[in-house]
Amino acid sequence: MKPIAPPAPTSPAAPTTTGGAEPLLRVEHLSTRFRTRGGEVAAVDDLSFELATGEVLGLVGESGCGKSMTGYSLIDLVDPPGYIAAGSVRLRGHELRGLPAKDWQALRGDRIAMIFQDPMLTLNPVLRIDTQMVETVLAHRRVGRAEALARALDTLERVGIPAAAERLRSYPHQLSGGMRQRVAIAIALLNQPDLIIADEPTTALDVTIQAQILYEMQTLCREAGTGLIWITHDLSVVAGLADRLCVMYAGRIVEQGSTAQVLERPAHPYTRGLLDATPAAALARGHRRGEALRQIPGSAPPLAALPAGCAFRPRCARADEHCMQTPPRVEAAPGQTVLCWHPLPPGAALPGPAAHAEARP
Amino acid sequence: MSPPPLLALHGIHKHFGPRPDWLERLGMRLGWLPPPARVRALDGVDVDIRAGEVLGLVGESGSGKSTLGRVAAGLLRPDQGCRLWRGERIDAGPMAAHGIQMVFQDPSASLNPRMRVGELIAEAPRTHGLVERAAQAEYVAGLLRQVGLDPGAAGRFPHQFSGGQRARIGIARALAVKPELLICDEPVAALDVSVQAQVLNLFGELRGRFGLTYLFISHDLGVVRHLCERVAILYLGRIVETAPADELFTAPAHPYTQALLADTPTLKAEKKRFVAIRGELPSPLSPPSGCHFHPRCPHAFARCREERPALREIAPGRRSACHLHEAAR
Ligand SMILES: Nc1ncnc2c1ncn2[C@@H]1O[C@H](COP(=O)(O)OP(=O)(O)OP(=O)(O)O)[C@@H](O)[C@H]1O
Ligand SMILES: Nc1ncnc2c1ncn2[C@@H]1O[C@H](COP(=O)(O)OP(=O)(O)OP(=O)(O)O)[C@@H](O)[C@H]1O
Ligand code: SF4
Ligand code: SF4
Ligand SMILES: [Mg+2]
Ligand SMILES: [Mg+2]
Repeated sequence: MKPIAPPAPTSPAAPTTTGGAEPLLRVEHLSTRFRTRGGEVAAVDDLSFELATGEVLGLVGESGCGKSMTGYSLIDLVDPPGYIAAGSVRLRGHELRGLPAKDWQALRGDRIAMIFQDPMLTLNPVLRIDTQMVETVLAHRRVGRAEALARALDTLERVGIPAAAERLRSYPHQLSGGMRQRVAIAIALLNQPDLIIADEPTTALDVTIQAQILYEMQTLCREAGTGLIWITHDLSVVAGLADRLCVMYAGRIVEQGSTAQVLERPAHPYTRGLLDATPAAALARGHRRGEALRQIPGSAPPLAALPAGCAFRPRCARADEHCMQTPPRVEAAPGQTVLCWHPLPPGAALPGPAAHAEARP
Repeated sequence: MSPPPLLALHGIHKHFGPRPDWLERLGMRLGWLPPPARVRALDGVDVDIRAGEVLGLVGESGSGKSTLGRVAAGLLRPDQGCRLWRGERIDAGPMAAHGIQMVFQDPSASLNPRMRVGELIAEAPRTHGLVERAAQAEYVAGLLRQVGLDPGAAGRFPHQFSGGQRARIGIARALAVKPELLICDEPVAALDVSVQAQVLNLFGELRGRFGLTYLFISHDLGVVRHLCERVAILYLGRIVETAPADELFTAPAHPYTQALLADTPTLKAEKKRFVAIRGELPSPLSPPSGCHFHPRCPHAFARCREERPALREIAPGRRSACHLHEAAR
């Protein structure tokens, strides 16, 4: 496998004079809001995190918690009635918020790429794969068509597409779902971006294909130093892939830390509850078949009707009157932060299912 | 002699005519694509479901899980093969008559949005004369309590509930005709982890309370391992392995089952070294010759390309379809 030749730095977000300590991506107090009939809601609420070169960040949470909206906010693809209300997004020290539309066009597909859950959001059904790939290169690089085609071929091979030269001449409909997703990933990789945002690209795929795609992404980050944000609702997908994890609940990051910290010593009651609820955790506890799983009572609240204070309060076994106030962000361990009044002490066990009330409507 | 299985399926074949997606329709209209071949969704399947057990049915997308579930439920007539209910042959037809009910992945798609929850649940038992009009409200309230919902839910419409609550409504509806066998087609796949645990626990409770038998279809091995006593693995329309769950997960016999277990992500926070897979996934439109798994199998040899391996007993209670087992004898 050959590495892709490094591209000429022509983009507006090329590094300027920044210190060596500047991370690849620095997000600070990012908020994205929706104007709805019932008033405004915050789909992304005061998000801050960093991503280093070659690092993989897993962004996890349940449906509706704001994962996709975070991804769209990072690349300025929030459609009305949504809007980015506050915050800063810096790529290699370069502020991206407020960039004019034409600068964004130059950036997307070049320095930053997004892979969507549905590959047909990336692929054009009536164009051959080679046409689409060559155009993506030529839109951002002053190279000849032959060189662009060579790069397309090379990239398809990298994502493990057999008989890549033949596939280049196919239309999207001639490929299987897994193959289309790999082509969409190849298109994201074409210009060797600094940052890739992957929004659940393997959720609809079978485990064997998923493992293949994770393998390809892992190799890429290691070899090319690409920063990767992997969005998923499935903790087990990022367990073997991510360096760090951010757990989201109702628009906010409630816990952030290294993958080992978050999965092995979760300090936020929600993270702990999520992990405990999985059959895998039950198995690890040595439980027998038929024994009840530990469950988090209730379900995530709609954004328009968030409880006051901590949004997790109605479902939390540790809630008390403090939790009526917005919880502080506290450090549970070096590099691990939680948004909680009463973080779990390391190694603490939550009460078993008997102590949890059954969920009621 | 052991009693006959609750439901036995013998030699089930089910083929489908073309069902192209919009891209393929476009492709065919523009002349880029030939008309599609017939899909062999089920290609000679034998399964027994024993009274009182939870049988897991696992397979990748398109392997024929839902088709098998629908054939088992009597919703779909197989092209070949037969169904035996307690040893007696039954034809496709109303599920409730045979004590079989189905729970679907997406309850919203199977719940009429214009009917109130109470009417939805009472519909089938009323047509089967299981409950009088006068007793209907009490019957529905009882079912709602069984699935952990407030009886007040009866007066509301399905869209007024969360995903997990709708799943409970779907389950209450299936239970309303007092089935013996519940066929659950990915019943928790659309649910968030925290809600999934609630619904899985409900399945466990109901089983104990009503002595139910389950055919539990899922692509999530963690869920299957948690819930099922026995597992059947489907690959491109054929059962490749059946085994008690504990043995299957600790010592899978068939090369496909082995590959599946190796690729399943776990919660371990250590950087995993994923390995590249060989070959492309075959399509059910043109399944490979011989053993369907041979293009991806690390152990494939000449015979695998020519001859379909039979599903045979390899140990008490375990069956596997692979030529290697014979070679080893
Ligand atoms: N047009 C809109 N108006 C109001 N709220 C919206 C709109 N679009 C999205 N939202 C809200 O934004 C929140 C975040 O949505 P987002 O798609 O980011 O969730 P997600 O975490 O990606 O969920 P999933 O796992 O289901 O993809 C949701 O609660 C959703 O209700
Ligand atoms: N009504 C139909 N008409 C045509 N083809 C069909 C029909 N139903 C299923 N098929 C095809 O039969 C094969 C098996 O489908 P089935 O839905 O049983 O798979 P599955 O294992 O349930 O997959 P999934 O995990 O995606 O639900 C697939 O190739 C599918 O496209
Ligand atoms: S702030 Fe209170 S309610 Fe919220 S998670 Fe922490 S303990 Fe629970
Ligand atoms: S029959 Fe041959 S190809 Fe099929 S699983 Fe066994 S060894 Fe592999
Ligand atoms: Mg999303
Ligand atoms: Mg299915």
